[in-house]
Amino acid sequence: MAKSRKPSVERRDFLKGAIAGAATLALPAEKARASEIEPPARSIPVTPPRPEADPPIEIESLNVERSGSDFMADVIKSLPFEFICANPGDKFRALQESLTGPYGGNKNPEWITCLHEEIAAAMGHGYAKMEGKPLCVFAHGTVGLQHASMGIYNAYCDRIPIYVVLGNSLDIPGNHSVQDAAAMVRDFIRWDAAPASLARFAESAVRAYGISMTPPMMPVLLVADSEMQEKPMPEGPEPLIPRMTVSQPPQGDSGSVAEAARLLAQAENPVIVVDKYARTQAGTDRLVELAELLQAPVIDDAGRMNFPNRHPLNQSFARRGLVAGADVVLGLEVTSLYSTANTSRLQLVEDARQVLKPGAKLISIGADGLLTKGNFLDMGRYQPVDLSISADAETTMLPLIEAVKRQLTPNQKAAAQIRGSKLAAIQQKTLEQARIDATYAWDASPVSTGRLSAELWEAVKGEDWSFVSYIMHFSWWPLRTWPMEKHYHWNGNSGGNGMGYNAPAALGAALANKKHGRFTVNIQCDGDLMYAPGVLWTAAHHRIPILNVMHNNRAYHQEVMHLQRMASRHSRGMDSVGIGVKIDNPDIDYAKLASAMGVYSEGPIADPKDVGPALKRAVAVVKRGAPALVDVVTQPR
Amino acid sequence: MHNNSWHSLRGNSNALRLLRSIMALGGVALLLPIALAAAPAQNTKPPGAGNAAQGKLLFESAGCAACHGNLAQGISGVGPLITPPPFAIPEFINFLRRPSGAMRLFSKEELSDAQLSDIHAYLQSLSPSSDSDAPAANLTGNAETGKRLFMRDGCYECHGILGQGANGYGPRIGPDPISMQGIKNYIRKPSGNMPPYAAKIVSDQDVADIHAYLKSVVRPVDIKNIPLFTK
Repeated sequence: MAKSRKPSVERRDFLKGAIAGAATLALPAEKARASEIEPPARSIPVTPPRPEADPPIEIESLNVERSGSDFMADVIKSLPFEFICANPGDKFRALQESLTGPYGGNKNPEWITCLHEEIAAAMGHGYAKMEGKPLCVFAHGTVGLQHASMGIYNAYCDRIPIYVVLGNSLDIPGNHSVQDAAAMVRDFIRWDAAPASLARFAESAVRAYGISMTPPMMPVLLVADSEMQEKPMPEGPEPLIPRMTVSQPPQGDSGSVAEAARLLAQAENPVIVVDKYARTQAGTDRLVELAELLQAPVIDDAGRMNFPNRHPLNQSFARRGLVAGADVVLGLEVTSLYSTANTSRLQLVEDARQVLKPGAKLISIGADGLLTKGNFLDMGRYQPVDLSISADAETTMLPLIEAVKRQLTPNQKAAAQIRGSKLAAIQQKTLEQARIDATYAWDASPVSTGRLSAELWEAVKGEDWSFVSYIMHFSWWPLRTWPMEKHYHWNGNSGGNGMGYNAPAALGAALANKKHGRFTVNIQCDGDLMYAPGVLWTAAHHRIPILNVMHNNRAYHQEVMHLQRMASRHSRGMDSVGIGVKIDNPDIDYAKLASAMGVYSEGPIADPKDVGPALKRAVAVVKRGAPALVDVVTQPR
Repeated sequence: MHNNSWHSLRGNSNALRLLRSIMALGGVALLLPIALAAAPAQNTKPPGAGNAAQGKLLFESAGCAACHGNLAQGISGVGPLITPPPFAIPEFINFLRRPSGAMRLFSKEELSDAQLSDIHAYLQSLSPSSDSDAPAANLTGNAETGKRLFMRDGCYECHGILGQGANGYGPRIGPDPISMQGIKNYIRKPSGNMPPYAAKIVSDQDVADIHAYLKSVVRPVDIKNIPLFTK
């Protein structure tokens, strides 16, 4: 949207006129006063009066009607942002006021107050995983970005877009200004710009959005110069705000897709491994179609909700044996195919061993081949593959399905059906076994994670639920026992495994779920929450409904196990293992913590019989539109 | 802080129950283990015929653990529990030479008959019934002491305070634990991600006590009697 710019020249003319007018108006009064004064008794030399027509040369203007920040706000509002998550910072104060004040109206996007920039970034991460598009994160260019960097890194590893706007000042050097603001995160963002004019700001802002939404998706960063924000709009026509276009995701070339289809159709034991694949329900549905065509088992590496966990072909908990028996493995957006093809143990010497049998074909379809970053090693060890297609797997799925349909012979279809019926029987038994597994330690205190998962399912199963937790530390219970069918039923793991992700990312997902009327449920690790507990206040302040259930094992338990490993290796006993990793003495009262920030809470609960009733009460609170927290003292895993 | 798991992310379910369930289905024989376990358990192998210690090394290096688990406890949907070994040595060898289902074939060049006998002995050593033959069996365990050691030595960190296991971290080891000797063998030189426990940290007597504790763990209530699972 373009706007004609009028105020600047008129304002200056107005000021000149006003000053001249004031001088004109003042003069008669002075003359009047002078006429009332007695003339001096004797003649005194008088300085000749200054010409009346010229006002003072330098007039300081402390008010502007429209500054650069208003235009920047127009640019941001032209993009499909629903929210801005931010902790305040003086370097974007003008832009903040333009957006939240009467000019911007604090709508589209709405400002979400965060108590730490890492919360803001992680909320953006969780929101994008649920909503399929980025929200905007504002941060101060130096101190704020450093706080936000961990959240940005997780999103990068997870191939999730966040749109970061930095306030920065080049004109006023100091400890809150930086020459190249994006430098500190450039290794783990997709693109950045520091535009030197408002026209370039508009172009860069629109370009950044499109880039963030093009696979491989990841955070982008735009610097909003603080002087440019605060100075009046320059004279002349206002810059145009370009129309935003999102590129079509890259699709695999037809020849390679046909070859992949041929290999899959001819395979006796094809296996599909999927990680950061499904962005949408359509992506999930298409994967189901492909798997059913081939009657191939699907191993979900849990980067997204890729494949319904109750589907007969979901064999995620049988990965090693299936990969070992496969003659063709198809990897879809798998970050580390090396980990798919090999197994390793972490003893004194890490003895990786190939699981994939000799001669088995490995096909990879994923956008990571288009990645141009290299400093961080999140892709893991190199794995040779037989056919690598650098393209967006979700977009490539449709032509792959069609190609497989063309390739499959009647005999191959018949063989596939036999294969599928065997897998269905195994899947059903795996589910039954998981339910039986949950009964072990059923009445134990601290509460077993299996019991807590079952109690939580009972509490939320009647809702249109959305589970939004990183659950590796929770023994994968919901993935093993809850029926996850819809794409929003889960949002996958964190990507970078950086602590401090889960609580704010869950809230970001809840923010996205709110308008859809979904019931958001989060199993929250205690150590993770304490990185940025202020997220609870944000939930209460903005009335974001979310049920947080504490997996309170009173430790950074992963690190407990690491230290235990080292102590065992050194044969030094376990007595000191808790030092530096246990979160006890005193135990943190998470219910009080939540209550202090305006969140309904109960706990700590250590008796499993008390869990169900507490959850029921908390569910009622969340259904009324507010956040709640139930603190459950749990076993380690 | 990061939170990578060093453990495999998947698979530690009770394969015995899986096996029984699949057997009840009748005729479903995708994997070796299914066919293997479907056969009647005829363990006629005389104790000591194979070398269990050597068998442990072979079990690991030949990749048996990939489908059957590091303790041969089975992996749900992949390979069943195979301790005690369901075949006597001759049938065991015959099966591995001409497997059915998804079980891969092991030729004599890969594993000799003697080596398969060693693996058989290892599987036998893991069985609860093998304690009468084990060197550590003359130790009497104290369950109360074992419970304290189970917590002190951090066993509960991965296996849960009742040994119930945690998916991706440590398999279920109680109730009905493997043999005392099997536990001892394994923790001294684990084949998976289990930290190694030297005797000076967890003595043989400690193992006996921990074993006694795991044996004392009460079996869970039948799932049919838990309302949350029957609604």
